[in-house]
Amino acid sequence: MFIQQLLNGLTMGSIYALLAVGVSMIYKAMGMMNFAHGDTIMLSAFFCLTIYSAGLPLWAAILIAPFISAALGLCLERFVYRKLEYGSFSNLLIATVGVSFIMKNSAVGIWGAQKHNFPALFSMKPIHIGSFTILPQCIGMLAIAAFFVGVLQLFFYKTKIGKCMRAAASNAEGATMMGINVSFTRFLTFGISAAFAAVAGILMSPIFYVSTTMATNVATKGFAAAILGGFGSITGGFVGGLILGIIEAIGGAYIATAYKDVISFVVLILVLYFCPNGLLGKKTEQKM
Amino acid sequence: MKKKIFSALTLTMGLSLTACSGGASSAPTTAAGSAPAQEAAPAAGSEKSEGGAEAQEGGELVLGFAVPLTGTSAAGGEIVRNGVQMAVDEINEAGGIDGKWTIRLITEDNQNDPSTSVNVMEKLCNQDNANVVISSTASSCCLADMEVTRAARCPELAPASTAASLTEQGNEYFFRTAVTDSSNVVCLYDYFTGAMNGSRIAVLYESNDFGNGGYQLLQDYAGQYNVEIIDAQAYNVGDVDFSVQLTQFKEEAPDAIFVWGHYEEVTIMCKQMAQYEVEIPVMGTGYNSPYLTEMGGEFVEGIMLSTCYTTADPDEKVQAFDAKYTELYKASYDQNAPQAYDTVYMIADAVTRAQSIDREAIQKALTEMKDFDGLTGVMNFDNTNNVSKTCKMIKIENGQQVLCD
Amino acid sequence: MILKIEDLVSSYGVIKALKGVSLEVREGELVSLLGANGAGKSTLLKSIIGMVKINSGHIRYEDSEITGLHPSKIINNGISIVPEGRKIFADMSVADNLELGSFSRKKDKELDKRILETVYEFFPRLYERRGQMGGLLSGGEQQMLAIGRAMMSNPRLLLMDEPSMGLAPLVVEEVFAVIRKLKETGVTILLVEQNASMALEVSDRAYVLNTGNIVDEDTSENMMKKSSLVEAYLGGGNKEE
Repeated sequence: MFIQQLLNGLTMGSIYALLAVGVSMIYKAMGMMNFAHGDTIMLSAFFCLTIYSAGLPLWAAILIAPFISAALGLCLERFVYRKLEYGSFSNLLIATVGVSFIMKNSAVGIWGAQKHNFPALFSMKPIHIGSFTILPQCIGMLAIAAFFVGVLQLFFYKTKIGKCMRAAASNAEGATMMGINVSFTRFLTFGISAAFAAVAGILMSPIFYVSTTMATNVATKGFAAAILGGFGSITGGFVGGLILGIIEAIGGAYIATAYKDVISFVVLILVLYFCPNGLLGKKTEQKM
Repeated sequence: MKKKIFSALTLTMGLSLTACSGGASSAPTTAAGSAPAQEAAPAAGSEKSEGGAEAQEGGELVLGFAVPLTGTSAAGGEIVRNGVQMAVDEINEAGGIDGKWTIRLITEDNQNDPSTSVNVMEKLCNQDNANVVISSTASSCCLADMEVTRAARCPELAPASTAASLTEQGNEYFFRTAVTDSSNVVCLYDYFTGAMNGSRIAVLYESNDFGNGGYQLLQDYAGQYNVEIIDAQAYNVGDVDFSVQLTQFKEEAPDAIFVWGHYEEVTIMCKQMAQYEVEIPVMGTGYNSPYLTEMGGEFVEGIMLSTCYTTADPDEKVQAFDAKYTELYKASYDQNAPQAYDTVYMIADAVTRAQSIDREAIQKALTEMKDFDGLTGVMNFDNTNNVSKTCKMIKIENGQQVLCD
Repeated sequence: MILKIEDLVSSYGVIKALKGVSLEVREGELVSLLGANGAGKSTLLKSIIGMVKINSGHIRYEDSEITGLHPSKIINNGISIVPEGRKIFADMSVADNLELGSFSRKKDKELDKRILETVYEFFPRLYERRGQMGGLLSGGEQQMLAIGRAMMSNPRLLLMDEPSMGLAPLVVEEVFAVIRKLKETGVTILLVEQNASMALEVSDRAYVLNTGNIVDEDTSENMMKKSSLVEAYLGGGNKEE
């Protein structure tokens, strides 16, 4: 049963991993947290659902939604965030909180407060490995999350534009003085992270139902997983997410399922106590 | 200090009642040339129902009604109001209670807020001088406003509040007419040990008052039905993953899984049961909603639940109510509408038996209510003024509710 | 003439930092800009690369107007800056920091290799630590990194903003040794410094800036003997506004 519960934990774990990777990526490229990330995920899910409900085939909806999200992210950067004092992190943080609020309420206004079904993306038949059961959707999501971790790592560490983004996040003034157009890297970052949020939203939809509150709690867990794995480390986010999912499952099974959330956060605090930079985080200069 | 308040209230009540024409505190007298009943200054949002302000032979029962009409609970409040309105109109059109008293309905918006509820209840009891009030609102608001009715010695009936604590305040004027989970547990265990011949259950319940209360009751009644609860797991509202609980239950193989939850989580549970190939019957309560089949689709086929009201019930009364409600309001409703409807009729029944609209008389008559047969079952009040109803077991078959046999 | 500044007035918000500054730097020169804290020295450099608001005046670089252009347009044209406070990328490796220095240049693998070799020659310790994260280097090493990074773009005009700031005297000497070596390669340098004596030793000419105005200009040799410097350091700021 222990192994089975471990496997069970991978389902939620892969979702947390996806979210944590997204959060870490934003931090890596922008040096800040985007509190509207969860709501971007939610909106993307609605975009996809709306396109699908309008009659287009599912694969088309899945392909188009990330572009719409990316466009939304780009517009937000261009017309909202850019207007603010970029030098002040707190301004930007508060702005993302505000945007999150607006996104939530607009969504309720447009689509209402009820939940919507979303077609399954993977087969519903379970896979049996020996006496253990694992769901195709779990494996599928793990594979996709791992794929994106690989792509993002490549992007940030091997491509010039990726390095420029990291530089801009590390020291915006310094980057500007190298001739990097920091505004543009931020612009791109919002677009890319929004597209990534769409991927997360689409994968989450069959499990969570599409609703205006679908990503609220999970987003917090995503932040926690990112911190657990080492904030700013993309691989760390992936690992942190999986670990968080497994801890929840094991904790739920052997302590009490009602305390799943509490257990996760207790573990997070313990880990941070012993490894302040997270499990995979490296020591870096303190900013802010 | 309390005594002074009581006397002051009684004095005021007495004065206002005598000033008001029509049979007030004693047996109905023919009141000639009745001036219209004393009207309180209308508060924001107050309404009066149609149904004759003119007192007739016997007089007029002032029915105060507090319900959320604005705010987040407005949708639910609307449903209760419709149920109340339907009953009041029916009774008045038929000539009033026992042909003698018309009902004057005074509706106030309590916005589902505790302090507003208190203000609203004070107006209804002390300004409008209601003979009896219905309060439909969150249990927290009921707890607040029942202090007003307790002080005013005015019977208060709550058709939609389920928290156990409401009837534990020692307030003999407060009657809960919403089905309590004890009725559901009895119904479920009856069916489980009877038609299903089962003995071992696992419980999956919401980690809040509702779920905890249900689980507690399941434990309380397990002994007398010879039911063994082999495992019980809680979950939080909003959870989407039940694999931990379900895989465990699969291994433990109970005869049924009892669920105390709402459709949002139950539909996901059923989907996951299919994914993990957990083939155990599911029964319980809390998830009776049109959304159950809408969201659950094929995955909720065969699920059972206990309820005090279902349109699958061929009973004439139920079918007539359903047809009339749908025609009048053109919307779907939940069990609170028939419960509210039944509540009004219970009041009428009490008044008829007491032959009085005096508050004390109504209160006494309610406690003496025996086997009242309404839309939501055959009902009695127990010694804490909780109503017990006979509930029904239904099953989802081909996307429809059908009675279990 | 590499750089010509005429009557430059620039401000931080409502505070006027430069109130009409004129100076020029000729090809191959090392010119120092001296003055007390708050005189406006860094503001001048930042104005040149377009990071500070210019109210009026002109900046000409190799005969083209660069007044008020976006930094990315100025820096991609042969001007490079070693920023005040180094501003290296702490969570990126030394090698990555250097690579980013060449961002502004058109991609040229051969040139990249040659310049990188030169940088590592200048700073052998950077070569040793090329895989380490910038944040883990010592103050002096970070300064070397900042200079090396600025060299990567193969600039024709190198701006240096307070390279000795926060460094121990021995390290300061090392830094100025590097500056001397750089001058010998022929690159034109405008050096902003608080450490007047060391700056005057390496430079050809010097300007003195005092609360937004140039108050003196001379060859470094002469400047070393002058009293105006002393004035600028002791009395700067409480004259007129």
